[in-house]
Amino acid sequence: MSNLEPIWHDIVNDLGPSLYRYFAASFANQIAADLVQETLIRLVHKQRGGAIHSDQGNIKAYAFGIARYVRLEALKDHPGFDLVDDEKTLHAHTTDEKADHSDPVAHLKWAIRQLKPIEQELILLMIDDEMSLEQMSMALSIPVGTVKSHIHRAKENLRKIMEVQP
Amino acid sequence: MNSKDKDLEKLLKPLKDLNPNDLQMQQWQRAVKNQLPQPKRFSFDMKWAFQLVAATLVGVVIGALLFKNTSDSSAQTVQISLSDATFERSHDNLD
Repeated sequence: MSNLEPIWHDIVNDLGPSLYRYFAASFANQIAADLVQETLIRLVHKQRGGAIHSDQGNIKAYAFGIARYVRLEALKDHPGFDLVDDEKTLHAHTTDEKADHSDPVAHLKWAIRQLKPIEQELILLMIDDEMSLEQMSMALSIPVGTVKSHIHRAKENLRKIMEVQP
Repeated sequence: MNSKDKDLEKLLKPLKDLNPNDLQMQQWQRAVKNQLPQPKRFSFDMKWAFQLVAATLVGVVIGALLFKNTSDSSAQTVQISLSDATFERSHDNLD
């Protein structure tokens, strides 16, 4: 039996996988796992500091808001490392690498990286099926209407990019 | 959800299928747990000090009870023999 407060145990179980997919779209799996941990720790501090209400939906939007900054910081700290899957291939990849069409995950990561930053962020949030427009709006600090218009363009652009053959 | 969104879901499926392993989940649970205030536990020194204080208090209480009983009987003894308590008699008793 865990000694965690039940709410945090549930939050980690609920948000952990979603945040992992969010970061895994931009980073190698191990880095993604580390970034999830960093996000959860910051979330705990924010919640304990009284910045977040206990409402689960609110916490989720807040968590992805934090994840956004964690991702941007990580991209700044590790430019070009985002598609690296292990140490062996660390130096073989650059930000200008070609799409790997044989690996669907790598191809999708590459395609997402071709989008504009705001479109990338929205597509990353849309990996989570249960993310509402309001939560996306809250996570990105932009109006819901703006979210809708960006989503529309992001979908179209991603589709076009994914159709590009090598 | 319209057909276009279904297309998008299909496009994003490779990433939607990604899942953390149990080890990573446990690692995150531990990391969060470490950020939460831990229940207060007494260290060995604190336990030792606590036991000392408790033992002292118990000792004082027992001592007070015993002393109270003793002093009552002493007072009674003094009261009974008060009329005989002359200096000479006391001095004789000492010898």
